[in-house]
Amino acid sequence: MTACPESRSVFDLSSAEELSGLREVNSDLKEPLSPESATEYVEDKSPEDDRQRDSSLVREVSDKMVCSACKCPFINREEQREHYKLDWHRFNLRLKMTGLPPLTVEEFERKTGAGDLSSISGSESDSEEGSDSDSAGTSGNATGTDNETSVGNHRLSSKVVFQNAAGEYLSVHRSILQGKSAEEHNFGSSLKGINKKTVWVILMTGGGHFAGAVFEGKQVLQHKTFHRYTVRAKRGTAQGLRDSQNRSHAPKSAGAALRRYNEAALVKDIQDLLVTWAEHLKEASAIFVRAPSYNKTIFFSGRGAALDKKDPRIRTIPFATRRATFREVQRVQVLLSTVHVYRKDADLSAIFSPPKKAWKKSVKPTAETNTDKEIAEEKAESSGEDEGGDIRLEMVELTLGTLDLRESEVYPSRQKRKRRRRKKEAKMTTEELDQAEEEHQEEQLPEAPPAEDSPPEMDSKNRRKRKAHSQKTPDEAVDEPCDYGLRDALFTACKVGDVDALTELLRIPEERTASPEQPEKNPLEMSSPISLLNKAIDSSGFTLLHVATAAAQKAAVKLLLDAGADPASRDNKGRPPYIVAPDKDTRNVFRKYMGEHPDKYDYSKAQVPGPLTAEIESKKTEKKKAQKAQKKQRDKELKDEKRKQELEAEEKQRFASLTDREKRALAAERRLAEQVAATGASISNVKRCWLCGESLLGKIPFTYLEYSFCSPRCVQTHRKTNAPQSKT
Amino acid sequence: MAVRTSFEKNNEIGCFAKLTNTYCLVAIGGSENFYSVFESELSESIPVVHASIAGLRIIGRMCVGNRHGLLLPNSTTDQELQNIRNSLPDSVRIQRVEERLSALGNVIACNDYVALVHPDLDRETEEILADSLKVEVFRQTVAEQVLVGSYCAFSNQGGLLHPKTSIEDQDELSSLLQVPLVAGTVNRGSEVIAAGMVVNDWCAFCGLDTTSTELSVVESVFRLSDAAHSSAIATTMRDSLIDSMA
Repeated sequence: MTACPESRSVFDLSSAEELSGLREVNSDLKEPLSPESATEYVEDKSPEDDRQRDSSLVREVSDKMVCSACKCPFINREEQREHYKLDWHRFNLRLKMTGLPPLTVEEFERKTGAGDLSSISGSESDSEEGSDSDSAGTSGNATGTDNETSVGNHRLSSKVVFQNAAGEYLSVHRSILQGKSAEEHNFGSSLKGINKKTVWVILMTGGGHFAGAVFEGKQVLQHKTFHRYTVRAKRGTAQGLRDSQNRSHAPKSAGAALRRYNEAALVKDIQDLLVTWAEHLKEASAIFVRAPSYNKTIFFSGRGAALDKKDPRIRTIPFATRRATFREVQRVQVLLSTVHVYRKDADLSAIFSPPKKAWKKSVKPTAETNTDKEIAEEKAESSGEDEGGDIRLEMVELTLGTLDLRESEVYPSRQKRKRRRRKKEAKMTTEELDQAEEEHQEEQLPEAPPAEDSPPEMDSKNRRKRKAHSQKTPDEAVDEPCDYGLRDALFTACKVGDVDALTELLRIPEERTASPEQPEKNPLEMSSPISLLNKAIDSSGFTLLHVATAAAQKAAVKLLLDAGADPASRDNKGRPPYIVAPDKDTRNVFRKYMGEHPDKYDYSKAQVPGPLTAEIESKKTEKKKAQKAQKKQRDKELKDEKRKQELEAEEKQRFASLTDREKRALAAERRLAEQVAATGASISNVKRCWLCGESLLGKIPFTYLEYSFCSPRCVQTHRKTNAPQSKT
Repeated sequence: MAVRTSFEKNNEIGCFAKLTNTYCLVAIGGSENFYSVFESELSESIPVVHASIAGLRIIGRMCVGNRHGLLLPNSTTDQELQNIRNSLPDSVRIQRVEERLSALGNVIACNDYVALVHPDLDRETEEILADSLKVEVFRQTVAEQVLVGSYCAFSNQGGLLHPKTSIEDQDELSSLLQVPLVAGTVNRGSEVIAAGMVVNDWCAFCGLDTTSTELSVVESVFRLSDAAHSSAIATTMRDSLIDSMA
């Protein structure tokens, strides 16, 4: 329907073409309620109609669907039903009861949106109702007084649209032409007044961030950003604001104190900066400020405030912004200075579409940009946002567009970084390679001609194959003109622990130097693979020895150490091979080697703690054996003890479960047994009646004092015989 | 079929009875005359139950119901609730509601499908209403009166509105409730329609003062008799009946 607007910078408008015959187009938003419905309603009231209906009314369900309280007609039953559930309807009903004219949907929404209508739920107190209707009355008379940006009954859009002589529509942000308090004046002239020499200052704060920049036309004259820690992470809210929210319980933590200090410091930083920018501020034609209300004091109050609140040049930024950074400031500047040029046949309503939609859109693109190309993309994207309110169809397209952009922004940046790193690596390695190669050749040239049997041309496919087969055909690999293959082969051999391949690889140069059989003997005689031994072989700075160690290839480590790989060489993190070893056995290889060749390398530098010889090892094993034996004994003792304790516990339990009588009997038995033991076998049974001497075993004796008897008669006689004695 | 009756010499029978398509509640009174009128008309088809709500006899103004359910104010005692529960059919849902406007009969008018409610009725009550009575709820006024339950009475067949209801409002309400409506009076010119009469789909009871003209309007609009001649009366005589029409 409408063509996409062309976006240009406001600084580039050539006054000759676009700005000739400029006139402002009225941007008042139209009332959505069509006037037809109102007239229709009035018609309904005509007396004739009444009469007519009068006669025909009985027994008929009317099909006039209209709400008398809200004065709105309905198209179908669903709409009608929905309407009676609306707050708007309820509010109008109440208005109707108080005899006030009903509100339109827009008025109602504005009222509720403005918040002067806290609740319209059914059961309110009467007093509340009264105040509500009062407020309804007053706001009905003076709508828009509560809203800064509305004039009369209409809300101003954040854009101003001009039409030039050519019939093209130009839409620019209102705030670049006029301060918010400024009187109505000719926008056209102020638009013409903007040129490449126009100085704008953009200041943004929020969340401990500050970003400010001075622009002359599109050029950045000066810019500065600060960040201080003022807002506690996750909790949010600047410390000062939090303190002021409840003064009695201001947090006393160290962090709070820190944030308070930082807030003060940030304010000072900004004010100092603004003092140094005083000249720019003076010559600026517009100063755009984005500051949360809490932060506004930084700019406008205090001693020697940098800005005057009433200054007509002070403007707010009429769209959502992100964290205050220099890039964001630049984005804001680009957005502000963008002029959308619509063609003559463009749909005016699309241009005038409420800014709300655009707001929602503009929150979306939060992509960080790095390269120029991406900035360009963002520009395109942001210009896309501005026209966000055009047509529904278009909007959908745009959203897709931004999504695409995001994707392509996120990925490329990551990929690019990766690629860059990879490139760097590649460069590094190739440099190394070159170096190594040079060395190689230097060393080789005087001794032997370079391998002529290898084909010079090496395509990557071939090379990969070689990599796979490098262990089997090491000769080939070594023979490569560039020793990439050799490195590869060495690396693989170390990683896999293929000792044969490794020896082979390390020996080959020796063969050439006619001392083929003893490579270990003279490792100082450096040849190509040997030269590679102490070179970092991968990106983390690992040497071959590191690689072999990390892979716990003991034999390979040994071999490498024999071949002259220095255990003191460090990787990028500063670790010698000994440290990267994953297990003790691998570490012991180093220590054993140290024992065997105590002077070959600087072991202290290699962080090898001490030599490990066979003697030490055997000692250690002995010690271990002894320890084991000791432990065994201790275990045995413990077991015995435990068994004893168990027995004791068992005994205890058994005893406890006996009755008192049984216990006594047991004790007596024991005593008897003792006696028996003492006197020999003289008295076979101590438990006998005291009188008649009959055995009491297996009987329940009659006792008095410590005497026990077989029968009551015995007791009696015994007492009789003993009583006179006790009396006397 | 419309019948005249009075409750102990009081013509406002709508206050003392609640009539729906599945049950009829009648206030407990000193004499059984009132009850027996209902009994004789209805007992063959629906239960007629003696009831009181919160110790009051004005049950018609305190509760609201239709064939699906019955809503009682929060002031109903447990015993009363139990009694009503035991007397009514099991298919009727009985529920107490916490509503500031406790005279539910005055603030809610309903048939089996739609309900007209006071604009300030609680949202919660509205939901309960929709749930237990299975009605669609509309907030609207009748003749600028918020007490919609008092100033109109309607069944599934038709409805009688406050005599001063404007034609527009009648139209609007008629399209809203989907029943034919007329403005009229009961009890020799009383505008409190619902207080002067109770009605269900086949039967109506009016105050003893109701004139025969009023009765014929009632019969015709609620379709209570063979409609052949009564419609003519309703259309031609209406103007004389409602002489105070604006």
